[in-house]
Amino acid sequence: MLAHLPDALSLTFSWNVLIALLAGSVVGVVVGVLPGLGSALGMVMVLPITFALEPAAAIAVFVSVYACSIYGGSVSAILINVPGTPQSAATVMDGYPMAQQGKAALALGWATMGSFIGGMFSLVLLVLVAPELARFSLNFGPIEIFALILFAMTTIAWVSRGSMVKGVLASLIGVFLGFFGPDEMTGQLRFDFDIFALSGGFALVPVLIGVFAVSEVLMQAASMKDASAPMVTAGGFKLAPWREWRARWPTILRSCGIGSFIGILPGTGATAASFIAYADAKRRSPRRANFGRGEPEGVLASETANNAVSGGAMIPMLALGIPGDGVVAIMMGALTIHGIVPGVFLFHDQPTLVTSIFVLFFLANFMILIVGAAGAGLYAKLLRAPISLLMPAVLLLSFVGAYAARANPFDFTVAIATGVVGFLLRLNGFPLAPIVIGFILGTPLERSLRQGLILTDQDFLAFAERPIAAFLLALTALVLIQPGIKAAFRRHKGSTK
Amino acid sequence: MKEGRNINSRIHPDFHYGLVLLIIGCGLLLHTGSDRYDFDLLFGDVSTVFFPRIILILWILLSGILIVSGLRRRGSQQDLQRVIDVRLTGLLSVLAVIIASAMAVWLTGLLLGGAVSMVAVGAALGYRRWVILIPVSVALPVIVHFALGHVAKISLPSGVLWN
Repeated sequence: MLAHLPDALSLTFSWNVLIALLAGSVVGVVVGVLPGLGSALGMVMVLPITFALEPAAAIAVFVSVYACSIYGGSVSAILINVPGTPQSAATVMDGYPMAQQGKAALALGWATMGSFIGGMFSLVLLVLVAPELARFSLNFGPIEIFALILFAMTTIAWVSRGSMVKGVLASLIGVFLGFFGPDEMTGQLRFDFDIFALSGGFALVPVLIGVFAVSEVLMQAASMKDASAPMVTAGGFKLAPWREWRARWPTILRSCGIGSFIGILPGTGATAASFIAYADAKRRSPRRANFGRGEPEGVLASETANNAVSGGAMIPMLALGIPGDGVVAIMMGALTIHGIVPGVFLFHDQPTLVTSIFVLFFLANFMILIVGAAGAGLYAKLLRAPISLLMPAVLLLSFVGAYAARANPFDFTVAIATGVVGFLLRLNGFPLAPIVIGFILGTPLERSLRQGLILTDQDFLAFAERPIAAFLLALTALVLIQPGIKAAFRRHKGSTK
Repeated sequence: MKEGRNINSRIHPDFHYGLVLLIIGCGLLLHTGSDRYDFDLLFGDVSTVFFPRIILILWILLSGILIVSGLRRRGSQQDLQRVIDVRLTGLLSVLAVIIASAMAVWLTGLLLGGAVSMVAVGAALGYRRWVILIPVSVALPVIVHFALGHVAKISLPSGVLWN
């Protein structure tokens, strides 16, 4: 990896890439700060803008939006008691009480530094683990890839918010959306119902825009109580003295570890990581009595862990082509549009590009510090913008994005239709990330299954003769039967009582 | 929650969702049996609809499970409230405005259609400070048109009425 560092640095340190990084960081923080937007929507919004950029600049935008939007969520959590992104939900518990005590600037300082440290820790893990995992995965054939994707999709559905059945159904809907249009292997049209517009299938961008952006606008329309702006506490940025930091190092390290580990697991995500890290810090801290009343350690644990997830989640995406959550799935789809196919061969075929991704991730985490500290005074003003003024802008950019991908007006219809479906599913607690992950992974899943069946003379049981595939299929089965075992165990426990 | 609505419904929304998904799944599975997908046996070939059939069978099974779980439980107040609490009028008006906006952008282009749609969506969402909404709605499409259309050379809707 070090051998490619000089080339990666020259690729990264060009004006257009650095400007893209700065712009992505600002957009990332803004979408994070504003409740109702968030990382996924931010990523979808910038997607059409990147069409005109070279790959390194496009990666800079995606990576910086991803890292900075997670951080941005903490700002509104601290200033208005509403997490800007779900990842910062745990930050509310101590961040807002700190703001009420007149320590908003200090709380933002803790959150900013915690996010930076968490992001940097996960970068180290990404650099160390991803190349090794990619090297190992070079042994994978279609059968192993099928087993791996199946395991990842099952796990993602399993740990999704709400019930497992809804998570799996959402991913099946996503997979099915990928069936429309020509069959990749035979070229025969599927599910076009003799409608010409359907014969080309659904493009990724309008589906992403529909599922995340249009459904969000509809959600706001369905639930909006009034159009007034929230009450905002005054912001600012202030770092705590060193002795305060020194006393909290164990929490920082544990939160880094929790976040990075959870990031690697498919589907768990930053929200779970921040709550687990918060609970862990509360249990172990000598200041546990202050938790919930404005204890900086609560802000620190939550924000360190949620940003530590980012590098961890990129490990399976870059090395195996398996996105761990919805945001990373969008990033993976966006990279594919730019001709960069994450997965087994990326490290082998484009080592300079991979190294430049690491460098850009490093710089994006630095941007958290710069944009976080420099813009702290502006966030309070930004938060006064009501959501009913922001949503028209989101919708306009959605239309632009949906059209720009293929210059096809049918994609407006796709975006609106998938938006309505996404909204209806959200209404009853269906998670949206599995839809996108299913849409992205459905095609490689089908391809690898069919190639595997051709290799084994249509004998599916022969898949289990390959050790790696057998192991992954066994894990998948375990994930699927686990809720049943748990329920039976609970029933048994209840009856013995 | 809207006053007067009975949220102690016996049937959980999962039942209705499961039923709709089941009907869609069965319809799509039946479609895979049409003559255009020329093959003989259900799983006798790695054909075009081989994998869609697996997915649809799983889809139908899970929809069935959702129906059963919807029948077996009343669900929490929260589950029911989420569906019942929707501002239907607001939602439908915003949906209508979104569809009209997409058509406006397609027909008249980003500059005109975009500005009109932003004002319409903002108003439909309840924003009434016209002195802010109108300038923002005019400025954003112009900025996007210049930045993406002229500088980045990305294809933007130019309006079929003018072409």
